[in-house]
Amino acid sequence: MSDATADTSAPSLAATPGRLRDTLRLLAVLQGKGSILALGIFVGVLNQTSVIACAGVGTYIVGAAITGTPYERWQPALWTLIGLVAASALLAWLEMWLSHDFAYRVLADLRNRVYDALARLAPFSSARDRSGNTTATAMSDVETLEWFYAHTLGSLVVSTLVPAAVLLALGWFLPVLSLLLAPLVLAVGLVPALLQARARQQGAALRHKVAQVHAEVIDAVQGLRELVVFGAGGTRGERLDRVGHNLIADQIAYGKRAGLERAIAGGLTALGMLIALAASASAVSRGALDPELFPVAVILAGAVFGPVAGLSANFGNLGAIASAAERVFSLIQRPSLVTDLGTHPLELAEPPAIEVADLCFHYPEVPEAALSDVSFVLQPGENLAVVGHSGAGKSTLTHLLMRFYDPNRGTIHMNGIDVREVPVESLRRQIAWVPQDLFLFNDSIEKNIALARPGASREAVIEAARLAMAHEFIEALPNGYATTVGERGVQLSGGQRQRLALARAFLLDAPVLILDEAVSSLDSENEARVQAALNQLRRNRTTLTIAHRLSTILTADRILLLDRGRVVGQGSHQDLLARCPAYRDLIAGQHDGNLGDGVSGRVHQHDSTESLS
Amino acid sequence: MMLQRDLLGLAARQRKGLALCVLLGSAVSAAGVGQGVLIASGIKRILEGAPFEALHVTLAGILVLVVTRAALLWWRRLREMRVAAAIKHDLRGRLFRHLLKLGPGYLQRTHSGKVQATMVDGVEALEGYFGAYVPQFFVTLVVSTSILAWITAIDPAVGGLVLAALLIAAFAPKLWERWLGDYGASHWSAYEALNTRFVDAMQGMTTLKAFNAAERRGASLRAESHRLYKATMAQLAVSMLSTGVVGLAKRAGTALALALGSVRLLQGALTPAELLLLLFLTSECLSPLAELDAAWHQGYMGISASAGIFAILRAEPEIPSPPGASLTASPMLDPHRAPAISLSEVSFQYEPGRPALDRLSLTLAPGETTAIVGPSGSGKSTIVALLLRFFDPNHGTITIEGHDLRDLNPDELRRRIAVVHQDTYLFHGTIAENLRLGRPDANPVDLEEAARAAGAHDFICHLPQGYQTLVGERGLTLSGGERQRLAIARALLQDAPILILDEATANLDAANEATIHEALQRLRQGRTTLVIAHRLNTVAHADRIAVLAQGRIEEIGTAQDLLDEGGAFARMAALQEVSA
Repeated sequence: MSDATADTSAPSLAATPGRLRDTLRLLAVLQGKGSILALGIFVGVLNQTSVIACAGVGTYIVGAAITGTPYERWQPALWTLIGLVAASALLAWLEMWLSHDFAYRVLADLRNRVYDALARLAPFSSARDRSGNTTATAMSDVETLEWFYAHTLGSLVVSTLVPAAVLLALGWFLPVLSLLLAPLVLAVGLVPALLQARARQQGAALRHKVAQVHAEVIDAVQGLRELVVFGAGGTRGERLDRVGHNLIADQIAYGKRAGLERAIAGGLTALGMLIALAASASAVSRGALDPELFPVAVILAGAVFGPVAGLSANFGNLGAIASAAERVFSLIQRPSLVTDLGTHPLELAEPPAIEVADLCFHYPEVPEAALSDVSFVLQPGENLAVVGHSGAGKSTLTHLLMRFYDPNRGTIHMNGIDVREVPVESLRRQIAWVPQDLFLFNDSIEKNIALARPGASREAVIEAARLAMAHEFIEALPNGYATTVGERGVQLSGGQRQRLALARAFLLDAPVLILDEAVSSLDSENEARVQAALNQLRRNRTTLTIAHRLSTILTADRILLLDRGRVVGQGSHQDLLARCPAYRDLIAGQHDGNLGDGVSGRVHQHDSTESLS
Repeated sequence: MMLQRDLLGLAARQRKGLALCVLLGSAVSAAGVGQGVLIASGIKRILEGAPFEALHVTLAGILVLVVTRAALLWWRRLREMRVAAAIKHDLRGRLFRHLLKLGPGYLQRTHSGKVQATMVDGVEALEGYFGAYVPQFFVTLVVSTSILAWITAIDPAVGGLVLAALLIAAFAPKLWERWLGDYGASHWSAYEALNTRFVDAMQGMTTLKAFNAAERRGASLRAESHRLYKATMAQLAVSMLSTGVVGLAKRAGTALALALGSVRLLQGALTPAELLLLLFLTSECLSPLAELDAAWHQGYMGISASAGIFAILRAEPEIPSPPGASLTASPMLDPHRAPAISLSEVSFQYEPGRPALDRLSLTLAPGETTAIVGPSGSGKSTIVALLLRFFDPNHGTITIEGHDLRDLNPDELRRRIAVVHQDTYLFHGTIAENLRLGRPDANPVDLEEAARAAGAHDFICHLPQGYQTLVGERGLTLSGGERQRLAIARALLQDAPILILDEATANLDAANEATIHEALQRLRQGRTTLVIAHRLNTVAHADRIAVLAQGRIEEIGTAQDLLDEGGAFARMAALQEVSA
């Protein structure tokens, strides 16, 4: 999935308001799976019909026996009944299996779409949605939608067709009964629809409260050390208790409504039977109905409601489904920030020149610009340090160079070629990216290094690790290169992580290097090794470094100072010291080799790389 | 389909609520039976030639039952929801309290992500089990048995047939239960595996994109997702087979009972009125079983998830808690006197064969500052974890004022230690709440004083709501330096005789470090202090410096001593250009 394949159905659907839009969105996912759905519905209709037929035929036998109809006349009905029972059991199994198969296929598809959406939007979406909502959306909302596809969609059709058919059949021998029952059947179907708005509201509120409780629980687990050390476990437990009680109150409110829906459906069904009893009793006493069919009429009248009542039970969950759908679809239909239309692959044998001209960029839904009219040139093999306070636009600049986003205005040229003419994949192959905080996947060290070149041999990985001064410590790990680094790499020190990031870059061996310098201080041994590896890595590459250390700035060929998205100074260290007051301030704030740029460890609104969880 | 005894144990406090659910469920069925009886009698009278007007009372009776049953249905649903919610609530609390007992050491050894998943998703998964399955189980037991007895009293032959249908429906699924358990587990683990990989990939999406790996990782996720689909469908085919058998038993049971009844009527063994009654009774007798099967569908996710819950509840704490008597009798530490701390021959390993500390001996004199330096992995943080009693040493002893740590009440011990960790966890809450963690009753003046001393007051005042600003994962994110200053303020507030600074000033910038050093200098007065650092200038003022390597003390002495010796410390100092 490349960056450009945004869901094209988004704009047309976005215009339809509210629930209709959400329902249409849910259906839009069905393309290509229609035949399975149709088969499922067909089997469903047969199944429900067979159930009602069983009841009808069985009751007919009872009626015939009671009214003294000779055995020979109802014997065929006996055999029909046995056949119907066998068929209906088989149909029931088949219907369930088909509807679930269908649902899970759609769900796998939805999950993939969520992934693709994130692949399209990152790092933007991750920076925007820091509360962990994206992950929750992807996994649990998608599971919630299972209910819709497996239990609502198919039964919606079945529950409309079957009662209509039975009402017609009833009307054939007692028209007045059909006319009396039709409004009741309709009411059973409509009551949940009337409570919809409330259901939706409650569903959203409930999910919000559940999420709140979960967040509190996670907060407590993650902060367990602090709680234990400060003896604050008891207080925290009381707090958990409080939010939990809040949740229970909401759950009860939800239960009240859902229970009411079921009670009304159940009541209307029984009322239908009552009306059928009265209407057909009066018909029998008037001689308008064959007494033999009297019990059949009563039982069929009750059976009409079966499918509809099942449907209304499903409607009760529609609130939660709609909220889940809203979140999932708002994510998967968000268009890409990059249009990957380039057709000229870039193959660079030598470090290229990079020319940035009049670059302007602002994030969607954020009024102020992240970058305004940024222009500079990087000569082949040059090492440019970008400095500035947090929020100055440094990370945004690298994200534009990586083409995570396209600029609103201005251009980036590499060796004279506009990067928009280059396929994104080809462009990124030319760039080794060393992030400030390495993200380690839940995978072996080797695979984490080889991420850059999946086919790389073990030797190549080891060579890259050696160059990054990481080989020794990797060898010392329990399983060497096969060691899986735990959750977010907790077992590695900051310096070790940095060296792994460098190993990745060495392995990729790209002509352009974009480096976001780490700010956390290292022990002296690590510090020296990282520096040595870095110097080696910069050699013969066009390098852009987001610098936080004075030593890094001093080794750069040139320095670019950004402030609130604008270039406020450009030149050598001496140059800038002499004529740029903002730069002097920045340098004056440095301490112990670190700039006082306020960046240390801070996660910014947009400058964060991976702060999703 | 049976009950899980250990799972039921989790609902011990909600026994009454569950009982009420069962009672209501049975009442709903009773009302249904009442309707059937009245309808049957109505049909009978019309067939006997009674005029329509004779039905008025019967019809009125049915109407009353209709309304009653609807109300009971409502009440039942509500109770079920409430009981399930209360059980989940209780369980979350119980898990949390047990986790507190297990301590941070437990999380260090297990996957903390797994613990979180159990406490969140695992607990949620019990909703269907307690909210639907358990009540329905008892309702079925009560209702089906009673109606069966009635049917048998009317006609033993029909009774026998219905009993057969009941037994098939109840016990046929048992044949599948073993399989079902296995498939349930495989589905759950496939789901978890996918969840983990999904979250992992989504969190690292920027990295994946930067290295053109997003598509590749997506393909592998698709494969995983396909496996989940396969596992789920395999499981459903089996669980639906049992649903199919239950359905068959119900449909065949009802239909054949009517057919048999009709034949019995011909034989003269049944009256028409009895046959009409059977028409309604057989269906009321068998329908709870079908509902039970549907409820089982909702319940088994909870059964699969219960393994994770019991894994936590049954885990033994890293440190054995002393028997109740000795806890109250355990020695108290003087809150105002700096104690002596001594580690003698202490060994500790997180996993066999990889010692983190190796027969380490170290004494912290009362009121002195001892610094520990050394490369990452040398065991510095393990010493802190042992002092805080997250773990007990495998060999050797740690004593405070001569008392073995194992004889002290852990809460009492931790109250005497103020710690500043490098990675400070901030809870979702206000700055003030976070500062008060160790002293909930601290007044605003104390707060401000501590924050000033830690160099935190100024930046707090610049936050949108000052001390009331929300921070943490779901609030404002603070920089590493700001978090650390909050941690220092928090420790200052706690005012304990022992102070541990674990890389406490690693993330500070120039403007603040000087102030804080001053504050820390004052804080150390009259306290036994342990400083862990890698920036050597922060340890230069320590009374003693111990250089740690591979779980042992390589050298120890004052900074000047160590520089003169020209050993490991001197080499480090040369690299960092520090002079004592």
